[in-house]
Amino acid sequence: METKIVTALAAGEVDEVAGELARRARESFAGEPPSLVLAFASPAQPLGELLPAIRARLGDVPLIAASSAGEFTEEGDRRGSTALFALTGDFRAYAGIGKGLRASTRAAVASALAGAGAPSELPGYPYRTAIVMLDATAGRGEEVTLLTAALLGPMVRMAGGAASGELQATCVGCGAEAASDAVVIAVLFSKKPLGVGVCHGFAPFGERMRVTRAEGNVVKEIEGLPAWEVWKDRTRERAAARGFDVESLTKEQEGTFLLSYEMSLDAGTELKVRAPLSRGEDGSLHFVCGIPEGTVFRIADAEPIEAQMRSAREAARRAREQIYGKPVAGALVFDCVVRSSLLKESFHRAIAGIAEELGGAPLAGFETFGEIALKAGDMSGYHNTTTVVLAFPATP
Amino acid sequence: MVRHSSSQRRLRRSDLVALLAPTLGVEKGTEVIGMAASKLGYKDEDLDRAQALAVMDALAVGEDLVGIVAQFAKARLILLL
Repeated sequence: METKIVTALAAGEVDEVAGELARRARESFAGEPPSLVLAFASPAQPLGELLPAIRARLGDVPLIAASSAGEFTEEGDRRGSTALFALTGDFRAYAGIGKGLRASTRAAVASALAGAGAPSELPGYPYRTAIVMLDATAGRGEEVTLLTAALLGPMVRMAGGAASGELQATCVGCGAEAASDAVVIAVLFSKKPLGVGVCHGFAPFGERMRVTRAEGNVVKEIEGLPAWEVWKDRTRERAAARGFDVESLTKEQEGTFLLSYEMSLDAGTELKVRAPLSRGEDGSLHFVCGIPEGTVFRIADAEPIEAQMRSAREAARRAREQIYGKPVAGALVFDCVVRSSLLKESFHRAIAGIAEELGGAPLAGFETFGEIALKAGDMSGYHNTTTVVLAFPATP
Repeated sequence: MVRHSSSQRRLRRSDLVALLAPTLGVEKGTEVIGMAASKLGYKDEDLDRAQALAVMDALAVGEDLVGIVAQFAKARLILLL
């Protein structure tokens, strides 16, 4: 059975968007139900309203979704819209949602997998891939990734991203249900492996520092001083060159500022980047995953624009390498929201570069608050400032 | 990564650090492995299989990031040893 992927982008009222996206999927698949559908929706199409509307039109198909700060397909990028990715072919997909990430990450992940009800193996479908999306504001990104990998086993590749959009309203969805502080997992069985590629374009600067007080994902002090004050102090000059006055940032600017200057760890053979998402009134910084006391880091900054372009293409190249360079039917792309704020009008060129690297295949994705990519043998799967590409081979 | 004598596989502490570093960073990984090994009374840089697993077990007790990473690393370590 041929693998077909349909992508679509639509804006407007919920019913109008659901109608348009469903129509595109039905037309392209000639009535065959999709194996898996993903939707990335702006705040203009609240997931709680959008998902039932999509389900009403597409039926009871495996459907997962995330709120989004910016959506794109191979045709372009937009804000205020919903992007759809629909897959048909010889696949079997199972999807579930787990809530209460903050209170018990393990229980939430287990609940999502139990809800999905995927078998541990399926005769004739030797490859499993997990697509994971979560609410990053729960501050448990890496924890979710590793727990999911542990429960699914060492041979399962993972890709995904953290819901984005308005910080107080990030959410994910499965079926007709949407929730904050939650994780959705789709387990996809296939006859051929899917390709996962990840790459970032950030580099550290300045001296190494140590986290001296932290609790979970909240860093309270760095070198004995309030975290927020240290962050401002160490980025002051660079930020000024980019138009940020760190002493008079608006709330809106704070978000962009924090995503522009992230924590980077020397992870041995690579750099691990961790995003601060917000600051507390007490001068703490809230990160996307746990940051233990004693963590040593440097602040990282984006490399020049052309390096961001190259890293997007490199992620696509790595994904394609994993499917042995075979033709690509389509791809999902999870791209850190900071990259579009850096690239601005050139963001569409980065997306076009990914599509070109994949031979012009359809793609859909969104701007994320964190990205997930984990292959067999990887010891970490949660990333920031990266592009993650999940490539589907053209032949099943 | 794994060196073995004729009778028993051995790892270096740095091999265990390499399992944790992708998530915690090299410095924090070195710190927690060193503390766990010290608490268990292991003075040598080289560890046998049982000692390596005991170090990971000592770390894999909580549901914080260190605990979860150690649990994950231990499962991978068992596959490797």
